[in-house]
Amino acid sequence: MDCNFESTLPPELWIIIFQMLSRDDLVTLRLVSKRFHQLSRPFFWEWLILCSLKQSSEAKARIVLRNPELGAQVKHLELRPSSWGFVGSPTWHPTNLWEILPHFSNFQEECRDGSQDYPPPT
Amino acid sequence: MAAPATQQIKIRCNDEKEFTVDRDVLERSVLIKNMLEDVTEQQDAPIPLPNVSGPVMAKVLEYCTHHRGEPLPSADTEQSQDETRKRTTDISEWDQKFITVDQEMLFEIILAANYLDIKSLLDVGCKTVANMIKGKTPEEIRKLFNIVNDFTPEEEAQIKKENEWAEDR
Repeated sequence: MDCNFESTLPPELWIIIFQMLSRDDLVTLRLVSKRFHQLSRPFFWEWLILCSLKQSSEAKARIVLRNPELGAQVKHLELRPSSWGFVGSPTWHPTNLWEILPHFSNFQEECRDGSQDYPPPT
Repeated sequence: MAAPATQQIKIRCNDEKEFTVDRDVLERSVLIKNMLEDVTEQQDAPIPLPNVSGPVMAKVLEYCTHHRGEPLPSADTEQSQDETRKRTTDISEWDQKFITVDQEMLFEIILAANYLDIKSLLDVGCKTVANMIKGKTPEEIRKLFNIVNDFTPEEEAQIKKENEWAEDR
């Protein structure tokens, strides 16, 4: 029988299944189909590391700025500002790193506390 | 209050198939348990279950009969189960054998367990699907579930780029 099993289960049941999978498997699921990509999206953003020395961090931060709901999904956030400076476009500098913090609604307090070591330039 | 365990309850599936089952077996389903609690007097009319077919119900009852008498998860254990769910996809030997069915039946069982509110069976079904996905490539997963790749090459390239961030530690 030719049956699309993807549409057999409602989203909430796929989400239960996705919760049982490792990050490696979730990364794979994103490439299966648009529906799986959409459903696995919140889990993909649970871990976020922003490093001032990595160009990809700028792209990640921009996506969060464009999609505020993704910021709320982040459960582990690590900021790695570096005294070596910033890699990326000229607009990607310490000020931006602090500006995006309010977008991580679940982390606002901790981030503010941790930011003492690296005060935003005035 | 609680009726004797020997009480027999009749149910009717969406294909008119009827089962007469011991009440304590049927009460593994929180949906049916609540229905029975709402009924005070003895009823002869079977309970209609419009979302489950006979063959699927037969499998569900096999599961409920095997696990009869085990404590039902309370609201508290449910929450801690959600926590452990993430890490463990272990299935007991009997459950493993029970759930070794064709894919169509597997998905039907998951849907029935969800509708009938049988948490432990839903868990076994979902773990089985998770185990099928583990370690596979996107193409293998598509083949497994008959999924069509509906991405444009550009979209696919964009996701691949984003996926590299997953290793970007």
